[in-house]
Amino acid sequence: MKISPKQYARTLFEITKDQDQKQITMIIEKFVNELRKNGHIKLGAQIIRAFEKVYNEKNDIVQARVITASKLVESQRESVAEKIVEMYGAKKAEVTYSENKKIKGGIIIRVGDEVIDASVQKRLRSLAQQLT
Amino acid sequence: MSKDYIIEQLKKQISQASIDTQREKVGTVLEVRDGIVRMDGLSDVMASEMVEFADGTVGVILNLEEDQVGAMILGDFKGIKEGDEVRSTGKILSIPVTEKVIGRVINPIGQAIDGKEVITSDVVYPIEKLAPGVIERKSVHQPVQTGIKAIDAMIPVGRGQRELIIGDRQVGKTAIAIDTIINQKGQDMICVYVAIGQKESKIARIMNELEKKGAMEYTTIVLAGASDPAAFSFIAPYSGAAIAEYFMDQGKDVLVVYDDLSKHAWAYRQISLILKRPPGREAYPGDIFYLHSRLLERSAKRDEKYGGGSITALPIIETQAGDVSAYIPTNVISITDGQIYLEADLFNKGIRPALNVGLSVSRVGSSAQTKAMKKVAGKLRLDLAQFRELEAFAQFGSDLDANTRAQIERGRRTVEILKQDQYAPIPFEEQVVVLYALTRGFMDDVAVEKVTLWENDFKKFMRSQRSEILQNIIKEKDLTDEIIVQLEQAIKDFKDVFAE
Repeated sequence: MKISPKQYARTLFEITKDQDQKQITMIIEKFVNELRKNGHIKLGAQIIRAFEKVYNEKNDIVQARVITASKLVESQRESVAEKIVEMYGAKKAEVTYSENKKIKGGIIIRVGDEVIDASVQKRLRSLAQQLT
Repeated sequence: MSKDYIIEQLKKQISQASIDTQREKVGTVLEVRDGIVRMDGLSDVMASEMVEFADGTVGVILNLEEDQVGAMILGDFKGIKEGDEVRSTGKILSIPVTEKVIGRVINPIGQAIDGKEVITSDVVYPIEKLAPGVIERKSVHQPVQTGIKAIDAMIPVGRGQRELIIGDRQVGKTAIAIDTIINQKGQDMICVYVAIGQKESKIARIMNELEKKGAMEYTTIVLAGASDPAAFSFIAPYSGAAIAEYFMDQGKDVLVVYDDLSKHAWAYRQISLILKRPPGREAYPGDIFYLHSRLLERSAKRDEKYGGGSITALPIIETQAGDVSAYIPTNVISITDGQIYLEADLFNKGIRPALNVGLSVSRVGSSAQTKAMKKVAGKLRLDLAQFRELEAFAQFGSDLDANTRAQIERGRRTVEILKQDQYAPIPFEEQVVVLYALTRGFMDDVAVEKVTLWENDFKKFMRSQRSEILQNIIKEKDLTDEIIVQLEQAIKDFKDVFAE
C-alpha cells in the first residue's frame, strides 16, 4: 500500500504527542528506520512540511507571511501578529516578514492560501479598473 | 468646462469607487505543461471556475484533487511560470451573448477576432449547461430545408434534430453544411458555424462565400483555429451551443454546425493525457462518450409552452479510410438521430454530393417532411434501391427484358438528377417539381447526358412562366390534385419547348 507524506506526518504527530524529549528521540529513530525499510526516505522533505502543517493545525498556530513596503519596527510587528491571532482565532501566530518596494505602501498578509491584500498597489489597480 | 468642475467630478468618481480590502483565496503555480497548470492553494475553488493568472490570462479548473488543482489555460501560456500567484474569480466559465454576434467571427471565449468592433454584453451564458428535460421538449415536426435534393428528399432533417455528417477527408462534408447555411436565407433561422481546429484559410474562404451569398446576415462563426491552444478547440462547441441557447431562449430556431467533432475529441484527448487522466480505448479518456452526448443533447425542439425555439445540430465526423467502426464515429452515430454518409468512391466517380443513400438515414426527420416532398420522395428511394440491384446487369444491355431496362434507365437519370453543384442550394418547391417530373417518368426520354441541362432549363421555365404553381406548392406544402394537373400540363408544355 502506498503511504502518503500526509499519513506519515499524522502518524508521527500521534506517536510523539505528550512525550518527553528522550522518548521523542527514540521514536524519531524508529520512525526513520521504518521510512528506510519502506523505501520512503526520499519523502523526508514532504513529510517535514506536512508535519509542520499538522502540528500547527492541532495546536492552533497560524503561519503567516507579511509583506510591507518598508521594514516594520518591533512594536508594529507585535500589533500585526496580535491582529492575525485575533482574526484567525488562533493561540499563536508565526509570522515571517519581508519587504517589497513594488507594493508602494500598505500591507499584504498571507495565511495558507488566503490573502488579505491591503497594499496601495492593489488599491490603485482596482481604482483603475473601476474608472475605466 | 471649468477646472474645478473636472476636479470635482474626478473626486466624486474616486470616492464612489469601492476599493475595500477583502480576503481572497489564491493559489500558487506548481508546474506548467502544454496548456495545463497544476496549482496548490485555491481551497474553495469550484470545478470549471475561471481563475486569473498574474499576467491576466484566464484559466479553467478541470481537476480538483486532494491537495492540488489542475486547470487548462485559455490563451497564451508562455507568460506563466512556476510560483506565480493565481486568483479565483468565483465565476463559472461563461461567455457574453448578444444579438451583436450575428455576422461576426468570434473565438470560443466570445471575443471578436474579425477586427471589427469589440463585442460586449451584460448577458452571459455558462458554456456548460444541462440540456432541456423531457417536459420541455416536443417531437421534431418542422423541416430544415438543406437545399440539397438528395438530402431533402431521402434523408430529411427536422428542426431540433441532430444529423451527423460523416465521411473521409475531402469528400464534401463541410460543403453540405455550408450549403445548408446558405439555404437558410429567409427561413427564419439563425446559424452558428463552429470551426474546431480548422485551418484559418478554410474559414476565410467559407466566410467569403457566406458573405457573397448574403448568409453572414444570420450567421455567427465560432473559430478555434489549428494554431490556437487545444483548450480553445475543446470549449468551442460548448460556446457555440451557449450562443445557440441564447437565441433558442428567445423562441428562435437555430442551426449549429460542429465542424468537426473528431478534432474536438483529439483536443480533449490531449488535455486529458496531460492532466494524467487514465487513457482508455485509442488513448481517449473514459468520459469521451459523455463529452459528445452532453453537447449534442443540448439540441432540442422546445415545446411552445416553454417558449418554443429549437436547436438543430449538424455535427461532422471525419473518418479514416472509410472506417465508421472506429471509436469516435460509432459513439457519435449512436448519439445522433441519423447520419449522412459520404463516400470517397462516389465522390471520385463524379457523384457530388457523394451521398451513400443506402447507409444514410434520418431517424426522426420523416415526420418533419412536407407532404409534397413525401409524395415524390417515396418513389425516389425505391427507384434508386432497384437500380443498385440491377446495376450489375446493366452491361448485358440488349439481353435484358424491357421492364428491367426501363428500371436501369430510370436509375441512371435519378443518379444524374441527385447530383448538385456546391454553393447552389435549390428551393424546396423547385426540388418537388423536378423530382415529380423524374419519378413520374417524364424524363425517361431525355438522354442521360442532357438530364442536367433539362433540369436547369425546366427550373428556369417554371420560375419565369409557371411561377403560380411554385407559389401554390409553397402555400399548400402539398401536391393537391389541382396542382398535379397544372404541373403535368406545365411539364408537357416545357417538353415541347425543350425538344425544339
